[in-house]
Amino acid sequence: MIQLPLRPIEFQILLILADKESHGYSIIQETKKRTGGRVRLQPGTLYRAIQRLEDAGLIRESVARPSRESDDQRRRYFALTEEGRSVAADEARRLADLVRESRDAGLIEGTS
Amino acid sequence: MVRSSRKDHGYRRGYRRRHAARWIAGSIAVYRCLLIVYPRSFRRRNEARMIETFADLCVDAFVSSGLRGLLVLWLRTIGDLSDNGLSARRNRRPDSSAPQRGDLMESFLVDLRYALRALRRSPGFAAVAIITMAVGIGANAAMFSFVDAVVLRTLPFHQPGRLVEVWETFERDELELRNVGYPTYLDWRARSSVFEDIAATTGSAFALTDVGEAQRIPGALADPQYFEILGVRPLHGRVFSESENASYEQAPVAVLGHALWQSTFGGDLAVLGDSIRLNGTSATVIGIMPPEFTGIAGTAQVWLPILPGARVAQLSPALVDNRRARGLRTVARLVPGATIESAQAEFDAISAELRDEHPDIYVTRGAVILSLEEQLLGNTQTPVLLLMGAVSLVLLIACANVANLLLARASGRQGEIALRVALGGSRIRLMRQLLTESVLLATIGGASGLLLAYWSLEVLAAQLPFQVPAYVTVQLGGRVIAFAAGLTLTTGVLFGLLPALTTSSTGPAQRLSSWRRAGAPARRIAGLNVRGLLVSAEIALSLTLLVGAGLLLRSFASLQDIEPGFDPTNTLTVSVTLPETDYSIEQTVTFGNQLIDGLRGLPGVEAAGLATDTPLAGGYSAIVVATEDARAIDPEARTRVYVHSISPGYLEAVGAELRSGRDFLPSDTGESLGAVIVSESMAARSWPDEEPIGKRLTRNGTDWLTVVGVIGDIRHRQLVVDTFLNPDDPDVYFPLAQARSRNLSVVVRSRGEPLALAGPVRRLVQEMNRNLPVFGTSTMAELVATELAINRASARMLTLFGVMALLLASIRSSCCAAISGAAASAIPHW
Repeated sequence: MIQLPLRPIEFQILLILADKESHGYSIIQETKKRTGGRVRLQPGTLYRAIQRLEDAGLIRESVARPSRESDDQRRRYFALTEEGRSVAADEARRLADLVRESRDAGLIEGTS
Repeated sequence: MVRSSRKDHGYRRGYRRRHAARWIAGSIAVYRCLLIVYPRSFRRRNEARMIETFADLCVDAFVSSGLRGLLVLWLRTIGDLSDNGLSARRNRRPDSSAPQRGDLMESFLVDLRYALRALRRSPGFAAVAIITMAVGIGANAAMFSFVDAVVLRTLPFHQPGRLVEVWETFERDELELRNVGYPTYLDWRARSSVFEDIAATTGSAFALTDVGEAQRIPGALADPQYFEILGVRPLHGRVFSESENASYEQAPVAVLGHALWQSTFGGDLAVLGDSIRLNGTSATVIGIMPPEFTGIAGTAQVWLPILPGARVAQLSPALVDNRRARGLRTVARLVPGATIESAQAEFDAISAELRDEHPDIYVTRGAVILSLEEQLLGNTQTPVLLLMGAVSLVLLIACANVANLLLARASGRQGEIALRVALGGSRIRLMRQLLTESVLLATIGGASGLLLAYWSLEVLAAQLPFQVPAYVTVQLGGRVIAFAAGLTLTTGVLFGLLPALTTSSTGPAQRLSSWRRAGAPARRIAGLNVRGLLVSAEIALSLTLLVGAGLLLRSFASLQDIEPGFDPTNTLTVSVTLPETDYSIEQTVTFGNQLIDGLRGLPGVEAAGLATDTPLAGGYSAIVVATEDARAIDPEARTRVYVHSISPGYLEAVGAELRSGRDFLPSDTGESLGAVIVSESMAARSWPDEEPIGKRLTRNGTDWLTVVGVIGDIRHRQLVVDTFLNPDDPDVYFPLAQARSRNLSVVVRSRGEPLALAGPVRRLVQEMNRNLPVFGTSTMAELVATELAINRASARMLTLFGVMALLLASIRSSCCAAISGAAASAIPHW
C-alpha cells in the first residue's frame, strides 16, 4: 500500500495518466515538457516508480490498444485505476492545501 | 533550398536510415545486457518495457542530435543503471542499508556510483583523461577500419579465397608480368583442370550516345562465364550466352550496371531488349546487374561479351585472334581443394606444352597464378598495417598518460584512501574501486573515441586515396566497434592496474602519516619509481613515432625530387575517343589537326598537342622494334619499346626536353622513310657512343623510320619504377598521323590556372561533334599528386600521430601537478 505524500515522480505519472493512457516513452516526453526540460526521466527511474504504483494498485497495464493510426500497436500502455484516480485526487488536495497555506503565510503571491 | 538530385537525396536518406538503425540496434543490444544490474524479479517484470522505452529514447536522441545525442543518452543511462540498479537491489531486502555480503553486482554498482561521483567531483581530471583516451582509442578505431577494409574483410564475391588471376610472364633480364592474348587464354582454359572455370576480361570505356547527353561509361569486356566465376547473378534479365560471344563481327549484347540503369534509364525495366548505342554501335540490353556488382576493377557499369565487344571497344581483331597480341587479364576459380601452388604446377606444364608447340612465340613466356585478393589489395596492406602499428603507439602513450594522471590523482587522494583502509576497506576492495574508476574512464573515453573515429573517417578516407576497387569501403562496422570495445576494456584495466597496485600497497598508518607530512610521495613498485618509468616510456614512444615520421617524410621528400621528364605545372589533359563508325583514319587525322588548331586559338593556351596516351594516365602499349645497326649483326635482334604517337607541338605542351634533333613537323606523315623520335635511354641503349640522329629503325622489318629527335626520358608509367609490373623500357615516339588509333589525349599548356581551360576545351570538342564525350579531365599536377598520394598520405598520417603523441605527452606534464593538487584539496584536512 502506498502512502501519502506520493513521491513527485509518482504523482507526475498519475497526473499524466489521468489525462489519457500512455506508454513509457510518452510519459518521459510529457514529464520533460511539463517541467520545462528540468526532469529527464530515465527508464530505470520510470519503471521502478511504475512498479511501485502497479503494486499499490494505482495503475495497471492497459489491455486495450489505441487505434492503429494513432500509435504503435506494439507499445505497452498504462492506465489509471479507480483507486489511483482517488489517491491522485487526495494528493492533489493535500498539495492544494499546502499551496493555500503557503500563500496565507505570504511565502508566495496569489489569492487562495 | 537547392536540391541537386532528388534521387541522390533519397539515396543518402536511405543510407542514413540504415546507418542509424545499426547504431540503435547495437545500443539496444548493449542495454539489454546491462539490465543484468537489476534484480531478477524486477527484470522479469520490466525488461521488455524498459527495452521498448530505451529504443524510443535512442531513436529520439539519434534523430535530434545524431551520434552525439546517442552518446549523451548513454552517459545518462550509465548513471540511471548504477543508481536504480543499486536501489532496486537494496529494496529487495528489509534491511537495505548495508551491502549484502557476496552480492558482487551490488558492490560493483556501489563502485560504479562512487566512481561516477568521483569523476563528477573532478571534472578537469575527467575531461583530460577522457579526451586522452578518446584520441587514443579513436585514432586506433579509425585506422582499424582501414585494416578491416583491406586486410580482414574478404572481397565481395562468392568464396573469394578461391579466386585467382593468371598472368602471362615474360622472361627478359628478369621475370615480368604481362597480360595474355585470347588464343593463349583459350589454350589455358581447354587444358587446365585445376579451375572450375577461367574467364578473360579487360576494362574498356564506351561513349553512350542517343540517351540524353553523350557520356563516357566505364565498362568491361568479359567471357560469358565471368559472372559465374565471381558468383554473381543478374538482378533482371540474364548475362551473355556462349552463342553471343561467337565472333568479332556479330551484333553485340550488353549487360548494364545498376547505377547506370538507375541514372540514365530511370530504373525502367523496358530497357531490357532495347538497343543502346555504344561507341556508335548498337547493342541489345539483355540484363541488369545488382547494385553492389561493379566487376573486379570496381568501376564497370556496362559489360559486353569479349569477342563482339572488342569490336565495339575499337580494339584490333588481333587482340582476339593473334597469339602475339596481349591485352587481357583473366580471373579463375580454383576447384575446391586446389591451391595456388597446385595450379602453378599445372600451368608450368601447360606453358611447357605451348613452348613445344609454338617455340617461336612462347620461348620466353610462362604463366603465373596470383590470388585475386593479393592483386587487388596487396599494395595497400603494408602501408595500412604500418600506420596501424604507429597508431597503436599513440594508444600506448595515451594509456601511459592516463595511468600517470590516475597516479597523480591517487597521490592527492591518499587521505581518502588511507581513511577507507583504516575503516576496514580491504586491499582487494580498494583495488576494485580504483579499477572501476579507470574502466569507467576508459569506457567513456572509448565511446567518445568511436564517435571521433566516425567523424574523422571520411576525412581520413580522403587522405588515404589507396588504389583499391570502389567496393572496398572503409566503414565503422561491427568488427571495428568490437575492436574498440576490446581496446577500451584492456586499456581501462591496464592503466588502472598500476595506480591500483601502488596506491593499495602500503599500510594505513604509514599512508596517513606520510600524506599529512609530505603530500604526494613517489609511487614505487618493487623499488621502482613508477611515474618516472611511465614518463620515460612515453618519451621513448613519442620519439620512436617522431623519428619514424621524420624518416618517412624524408623519403617522401626525395620522391618529390624525382625528375618526371615533363613539366606538370599549368598543364591540362582531357581525352576523346572517336567512334570507328563515324571516323575513318583519314577523318581522325583531319579531326586531330582541326582540334589542335582550335585549341591553339583558345585564349590562355600557350601550347597544345595530341597523343595516344599521356604520362601517368594509363593506356600504354609496347611493341618490338629493331635498329638497322643491330640487324646488321643479328637478323633476329629486336628491342621491346613503349610506343607513343604524338602530334607536332605535343612535346612543347607536355614540357619534354628536346636533347637533340627536332620535333615532328606537320609534314611527317608518310609511313616509309618516316620520322621517329626516341627517348634518351633508347638512344643510349641502341647507339651508345654514336649520334642517334639519322639512325634508322623498323617495326616490321621492311619499313624504315629515321630518328629525327632525341628527348629526355619521361616517366610515363609510374614515377617510382617497379620493375616487376612496369619494367623500365625505352620509349619511341611516332607521328600521330601514322597511328591507327582513334583514342586522342589532348594536352594543353596554359598561361594561368589550367583547370580554367577545361570548360573551353570541352565546348570546343562538342562544337566539332556533340556526340563526343570528353573524359579524363585532369591537370598533370593532379596525376603526379595521385602517384605520390600513398607515400604522402603515409608520411602525413605518421606525422599526425607523432604530433598527437607529443601533445599527449605535454598534456601529461602540465596536468599531473594540477590534478594531484586539486584532488588533495578536495579532501578536507583535519
